Amino acid sequence: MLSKLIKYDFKALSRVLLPTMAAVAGASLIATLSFLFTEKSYSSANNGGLATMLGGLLAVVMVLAIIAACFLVFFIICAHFYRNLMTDEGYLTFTLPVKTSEILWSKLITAMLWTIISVVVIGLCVLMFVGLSTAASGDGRQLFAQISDALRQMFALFNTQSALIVFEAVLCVLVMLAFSILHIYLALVIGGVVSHRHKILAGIGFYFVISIVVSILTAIAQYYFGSSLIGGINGMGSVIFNPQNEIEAANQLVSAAQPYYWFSIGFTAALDVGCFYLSKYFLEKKLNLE
Amino acid sequence: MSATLECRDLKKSYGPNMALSGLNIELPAGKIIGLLGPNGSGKTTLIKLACGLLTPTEGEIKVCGQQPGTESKALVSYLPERTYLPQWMTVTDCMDYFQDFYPDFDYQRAVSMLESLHVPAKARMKTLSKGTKEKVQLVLVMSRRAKLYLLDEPIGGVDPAARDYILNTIISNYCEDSTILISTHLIADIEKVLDEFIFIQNGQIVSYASTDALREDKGKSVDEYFREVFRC
Amino acid sequence: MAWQFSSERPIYVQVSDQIVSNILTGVYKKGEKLPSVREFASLAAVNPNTVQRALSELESVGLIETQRNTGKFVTQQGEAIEMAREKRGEVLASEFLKSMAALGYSPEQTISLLQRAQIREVKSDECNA
Repeated sequence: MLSKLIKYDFKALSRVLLPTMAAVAGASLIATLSFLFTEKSYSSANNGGLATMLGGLLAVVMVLAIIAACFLVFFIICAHFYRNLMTDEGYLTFTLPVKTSEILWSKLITAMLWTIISVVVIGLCVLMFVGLSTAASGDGRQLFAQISDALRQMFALFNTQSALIVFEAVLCVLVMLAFSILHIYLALVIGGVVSHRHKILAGIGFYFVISIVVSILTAIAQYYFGSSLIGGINGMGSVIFNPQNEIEAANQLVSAAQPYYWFSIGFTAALDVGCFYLSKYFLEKKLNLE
Repeated sequence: MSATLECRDLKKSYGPNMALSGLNIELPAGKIIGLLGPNGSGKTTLIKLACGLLTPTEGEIKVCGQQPGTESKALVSYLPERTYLPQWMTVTDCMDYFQDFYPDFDYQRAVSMLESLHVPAKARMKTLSKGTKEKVQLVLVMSRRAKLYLLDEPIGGVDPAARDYILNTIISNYCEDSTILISTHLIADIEKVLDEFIFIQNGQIVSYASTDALREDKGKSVDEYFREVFRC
Repeated sequence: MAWQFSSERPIYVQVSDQIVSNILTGVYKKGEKLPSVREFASLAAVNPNTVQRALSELESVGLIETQRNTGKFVTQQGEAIEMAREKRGEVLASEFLKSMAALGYSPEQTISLLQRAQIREVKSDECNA
């Protein structure tokens, strides 16, 4: 049943997000091409001032469009969750022969998937814009050479430890992404359960309440576990700023940061679980659809 | 065999308001039953408790011996008093949706009913009129082979001609071992399809009897009896 | 067109009355197969259980017969049908007398009224012919 739920949630999100992403990609393509065109006319013609201004304007529009797209993605994901569970559609969703946990999993997985897709698409667009527009000039070529050099070095140094770092980083991002989504979901659920008229407003209020609770929890956790973590890093000063020991320093830094890394991953994961089960509890026991 | 729907001391309150105050009832299989009562008497609350949209404040409710949950939801076919299908879906999408989630959904039956009601299968829900949306929902709900059908105001929003068709749909899709509970104000329109009726007021059962018995004993139709019992 | 029902008598009684009328007026002929319960329910727009009950009443008085696997039929026996006709006639006649009495007619006056009505009926039939 979970796969079927995911299928329909993904479909519902794709309906709106696919065109959004297409628009972002199209807009950045146009912006990039226009930028290249104005760049060319700047170098060939005398009245380049206007063209440069136009190019700058395009860049600004592009940045604004991308910010708007990010907000839109965020908004669409929240709106889908809210509409599907808290409005009339909830009558359908909650009478399906599926577990509440499956509904939440489906919403979480599809939201994470679409966030990742959006980030990748938007990232590629930015890369295209920056890359192509700077590639026209000499700086760009130099920049690219530097980037590819750095990448080559990174791959040369790639070993089990760096694999671990990558793994940790990915895990960290996923756990935190899950938290930022579950945070919103929980706020919307509590808002919907508590208030009958102003569910969204209550949801926004509870978003901040949860934020405060989480920061208090974080502060407490850091107070109890933090000192032991920082201890590991204290002895590093001597190694870090010695350029001959670059790699060793990096290694040491990474291994010193290990406990902190795992602590924050564990802590965020615990918050994920907490939000998930609280949402589940409220949906199962306290839901009162009008 | 356990009753199709069973309530024991069922209570439900919304804050200080008691919607159901200690309701006891047992509904057998194979009957079409009217759930009748004035506004705010607890009809919708009872139905929502039975399909698991609400949780009881006290007491218990069981569908075919099970408390509302994943298993009971597979046995219950619920028609809410509002449009609950996602507006962006086409009628066909909605049928696929039901097909995917309810193993007891009869796709062919739904297709043929929609055809006879002249509902365009490719149209999106949001483009349909309110009455047509209600027809689509009723068709989907009645195309399931459920044990318990909970129909909340199934004929309130449609014209008299469609009302006849809908009642006919209910009659012709009903099978002997399932129970249909219909809540409505339009008693005169539905009373000839009812085996039994429940009068509910202030969250309690006032009367639960067979329609024929009422006519035999009192020489009255349910509609007349309702007006007498709930006279203002 | 759904069947019409009055509110004071049980619906199954009215359904069975309607089926009897249909048999007596030849809508369903002797030995003919009757619609299924579901078809009747849909025709009369009533609950199938009600139809079932009406049909079993009729079966108990011998007006209809069930044949295994094939359904219900109007009886082959003319006797049963004639009995039903007689009973229906009696009911209608006494009901008519009652309503005439309510209007203040004595049974004798009613009968003479009926005779006059019959003569008019015959005449208008002749004119039409």
